[in-house]
Amino acid sequence: MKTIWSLQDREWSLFSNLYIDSDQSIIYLVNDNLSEDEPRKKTHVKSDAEELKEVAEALPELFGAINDAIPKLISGLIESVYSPEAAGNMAAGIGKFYSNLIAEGIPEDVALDMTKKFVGALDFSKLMSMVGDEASVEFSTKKKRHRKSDNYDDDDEEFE
Amino acid sequence: MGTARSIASITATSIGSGSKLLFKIWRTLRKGKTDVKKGAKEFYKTLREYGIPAEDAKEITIAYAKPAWEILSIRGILRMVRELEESNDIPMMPFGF
Repeated sequence: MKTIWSLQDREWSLFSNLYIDSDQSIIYLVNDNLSEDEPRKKTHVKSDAEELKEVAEALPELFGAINDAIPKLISGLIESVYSPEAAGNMAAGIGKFYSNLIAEGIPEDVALDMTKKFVGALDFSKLMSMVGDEASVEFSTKKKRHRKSDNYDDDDEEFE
Repeated sequence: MGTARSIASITATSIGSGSKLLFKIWRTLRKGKTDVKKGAKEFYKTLREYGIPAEDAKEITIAYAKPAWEILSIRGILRMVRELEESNDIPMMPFGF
């Protein structure tokens, strides 16, 4: 709440410590126990119009952040597991497992069965959710940082 | 007058930016599907290079690509967001609505 101006006129205190301003915002008086010579101060409560104006101003920024963050999150998630390099490396691991089994003299059908079980144990959906969790932690940390910076901005406004 | 202007601004921004977000997500999903296809091709090729029979290599490749294919749809994205919300306890809507 900000003090907007000091009220010199004593008549206001006779009616009430509250009144509605011309722009529909509520203004109330403080320092009722002051002597008549001291100026009376008014505090200002945010009206609906001001809040709507703030939302209207902040909304483009919010959408801008979401527009950047969500496509990055999706493409990062896919690239980390399904890029040609990652896919090649993963397939090479599976292929090496299979060829080592064959080289050790295990029959081909048994080696294939073992390889399929090995792939089943890898569980790609779990891998995806793990990557997704990491990405979301990064995203939420960024959000928290952003919130902290917002608070600092508020503090700065208070000091002003 | 100020209130009406603010409401009009909020509505216009929501429609404009919401459409832009939807388009960007749709484009990212399309790109993601292309990437998954490329990755799966590379995966299959590498498996074949190591001597895995074609039919089995195909089966393994499908098991590899399926989770991403499920995620790369609007419903998949919504499910993922819901899971993220549950795991991090971050309310996506104010006041828990």
